Amino acid sequence: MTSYDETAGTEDPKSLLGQLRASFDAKSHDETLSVEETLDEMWAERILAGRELSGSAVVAAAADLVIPPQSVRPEARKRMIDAASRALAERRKLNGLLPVLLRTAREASGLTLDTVAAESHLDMNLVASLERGDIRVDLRMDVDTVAAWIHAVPVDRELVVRSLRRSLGVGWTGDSLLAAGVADAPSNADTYVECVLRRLAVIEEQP
Amino acid sequence: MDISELIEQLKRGEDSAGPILVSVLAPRLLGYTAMIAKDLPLADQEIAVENAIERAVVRIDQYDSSKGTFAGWVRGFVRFAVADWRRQYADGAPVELSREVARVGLTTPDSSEDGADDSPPGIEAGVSTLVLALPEVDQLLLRLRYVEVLPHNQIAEQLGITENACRKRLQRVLERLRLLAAADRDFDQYFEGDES
Repeated sequence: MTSYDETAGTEDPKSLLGQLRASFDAKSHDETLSVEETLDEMWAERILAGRELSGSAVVAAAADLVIPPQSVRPEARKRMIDAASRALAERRKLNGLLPVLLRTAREASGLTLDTVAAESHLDMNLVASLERGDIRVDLRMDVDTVAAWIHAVPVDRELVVRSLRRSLGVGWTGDSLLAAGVADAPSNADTYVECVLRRLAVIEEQP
Repeated sequence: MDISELIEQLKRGEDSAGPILVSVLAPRLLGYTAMIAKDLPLADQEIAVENAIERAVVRIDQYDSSKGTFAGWVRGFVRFAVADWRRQYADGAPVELSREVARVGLTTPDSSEDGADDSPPGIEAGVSTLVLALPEVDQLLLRLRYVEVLPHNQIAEQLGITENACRKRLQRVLERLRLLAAADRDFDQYFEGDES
């Protein structure tokens, strides 16, 4: 697979741009077209405009070079950095522990704690405590509860699994002495995640 | 730092990646905005870039380096921001949002009513195949006009040629492309009779 960003560094888009410039001869400068849009131009607007054309990497990189840089005013630069920082903060939430992810996703979807509690058949106070981190998500946490909570919040499953693993990694991680009384609990993060995914599959099969 | 490393930092949400991203991309994004939206006041061009940067970082997981350059991908968000600006503030200006929305992976509340692209599956690949049959210099010209949506006069200015020369040359490229399209039965069948 071609990585356009890498290829752009190893091929020579400048040379292609030079070839394009050189390909215009003196004659082509004198020719004129009518002001009105030609049939071919109309056809191209319909067929080409806005499409994601895959092409050679050097062409894409040469297109980058045609765009001239323009100096950015310091105050605008600051606002752009602030905008990037806001977006990065959102990303950190998505890369965080499970309670942070599920709360962020719930709020982004406009769901209330009530709705999540009703959908998951969990007590609203329990959902609130889970979101606040008052109750830790670790290997001792009931798998059915975690699966029901996840099911009630619309969020990318891959992100959920990553966040769940992180939560399991920082919480109780299966010390055998502490396991007394929870003998049937999954013994490690991998098993726990598998159990949650199996339970989620069961929930999602239910009408 | 190379681009792929910067992208990984952005994906991880590292705060230090923000200023680097702005340093690397903002000058050309602003230059690009000035090319496609000369009528916008500078402050609004800057806001378009600001919005584009924010949207790109939020959706960085969707960037696929096998489909184009990172800078090219972010320019899609600039086009979206400019179209959005026109829709909000410039009464009557023609706006074609649907394809841009689809291309940069955005959804808007009204995107379903915005006129989705009704091309059959695979038509994008078909168009790409036709374009790939052209010499690279011609591909570049088509990309500048129809993917980057640069006006003829802006392309001409950057290439150091006249606007007439630019348009005439594009006209010849399009004639060649239409011949190729006419020879492609599937392609021709889909678009047959759909011309003015």
